[in-house]
Amino acid sequence: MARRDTLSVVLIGISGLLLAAAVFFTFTVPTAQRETGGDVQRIFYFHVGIAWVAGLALLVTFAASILYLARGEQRQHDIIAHASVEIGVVFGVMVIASGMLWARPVWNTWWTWDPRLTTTAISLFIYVAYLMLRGAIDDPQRRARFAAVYAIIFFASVPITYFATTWWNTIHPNLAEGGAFALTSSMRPAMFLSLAAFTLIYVVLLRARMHVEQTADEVAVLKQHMLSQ
Amino acid sequence: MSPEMQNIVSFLIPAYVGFWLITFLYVLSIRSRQRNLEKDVEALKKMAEKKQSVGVDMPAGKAAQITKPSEVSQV
Amino acid sequence: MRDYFRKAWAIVAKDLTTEVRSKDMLSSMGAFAALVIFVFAFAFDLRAARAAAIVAPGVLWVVIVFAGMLGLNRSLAAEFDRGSFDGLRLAPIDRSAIFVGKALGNFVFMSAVEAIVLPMLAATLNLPFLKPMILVAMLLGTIGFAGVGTLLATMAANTRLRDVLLPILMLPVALPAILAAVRVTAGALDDAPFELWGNWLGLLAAYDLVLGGLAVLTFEYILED
Repeated sequence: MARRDTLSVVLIGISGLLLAAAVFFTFTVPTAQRETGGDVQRIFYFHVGIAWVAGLALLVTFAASILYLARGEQRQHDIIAHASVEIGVVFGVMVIASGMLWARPVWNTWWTWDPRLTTTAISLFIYVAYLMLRGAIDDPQRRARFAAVYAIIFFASVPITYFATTWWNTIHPNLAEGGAFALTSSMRPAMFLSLAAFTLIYVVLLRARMHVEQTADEVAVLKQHMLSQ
Repeated sequence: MSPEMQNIVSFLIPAYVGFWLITFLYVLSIRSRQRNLEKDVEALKKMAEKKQSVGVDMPAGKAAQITKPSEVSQV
Repeated sequence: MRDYFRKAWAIVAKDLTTEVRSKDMLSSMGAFAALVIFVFAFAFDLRAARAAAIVAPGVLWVVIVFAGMLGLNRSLAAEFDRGSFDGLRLAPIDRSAIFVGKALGNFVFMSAVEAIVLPMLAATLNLPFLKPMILVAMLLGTIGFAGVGTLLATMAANTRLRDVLLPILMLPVALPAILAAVRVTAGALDDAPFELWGNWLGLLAAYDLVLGGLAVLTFEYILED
């Protein structure tokens, strides 16, 4: 059974509660107007939370990568960066999927080339490239170093990509651009609870994933010990 | 079914279910990786202990064989 | 300072001399580029004048990008195979100078290929490609591409996947630059007023500065061992 220290239990407990509350409010908050999809708009509360986590994951990876290179190449930072990217991939896939499932009934199209969606898709490619880079290197130190450098490069390219796709869109104005996603005050509890719940879920997943890497390191050390005797 | 109901069924429910399913599968993947690794840790620790108790430069079986007097002439 | 550039130039000179003697990189890049132009001509039926004008800027840059990656791969793989990476590591030279040298070399190679591709495309499609703004776009685009590309190609060469990994690492990061370069080329080609597409030039310059700068700064972490 995985190690269950107090902090983990507390975090899982609180995030579970927040998620339950978020779900409750998501489904009891008043129905949105027809233009934004009516009841299908409820996807939005989860969609935003998921998008927030994907973005958070990117930021954490960037920070951890810089720390890794700048603060003496500590394994801990490398683990954080790696775990965060993996979570970013999972949530990135979910954000695009949930976005598509909302776009289809509301705007009658599966995909639009709007800047946020396009940039998210590109970021997803980059996350996958990061994982492939890691997978292609056996030496742990080199792997960590290369991954950190790539993370810094790709993080810098994301805002530029966002601007590029925004300008690109003004050439072919998108008819599918929805109006303001105005949230009435009655909808706010669902949104905030959703954001809070997802942030904690991110933390829980990150710690769990990090623990896997730490155990793997333990295995590697034990194996090394065995072979050298 | 009204078009709105149709939308809810074909989109909202799959999106909601999808979120839970994907998150659940990911958590499961983390869990199984963790379990496998912990099994490895246990196995390696046991192997290390065995080696300690028998002696460092001789595998357990060999050591038992050589101490048997009846075997000596057949070597 | 002078010393720094002298050392960087030494690396460029080495790469250029090697290439002049063997000519394999330039010829393979050139042949590849020419063939790709023909593939596009057939794939998109570029005989009709209007179709050609719309698609041409994209074709130009796709050719440059793919031929460029070919060149990057070869240039780095050669270093790796010859074992000259270790030689470079041991040399009493600032790591970033190595980067500048390699990147400059790659820049020169890409420019040489572009010098073939541009007139060829202009002739095949009958379009006025030889305009100053297009050349500026090519300059900026190639700088950015060579910069980031040298960094990423060096990483890729040092992994199990080697060549194959470079496009995967590079393309998502290069997308905004490619988009910007295409937009500038299209604007200049159509003689559209500068205000309409000038901002893309700015984006390209910003890309070169930010990512080129980061590449120079982080290169030393890749050569360490």
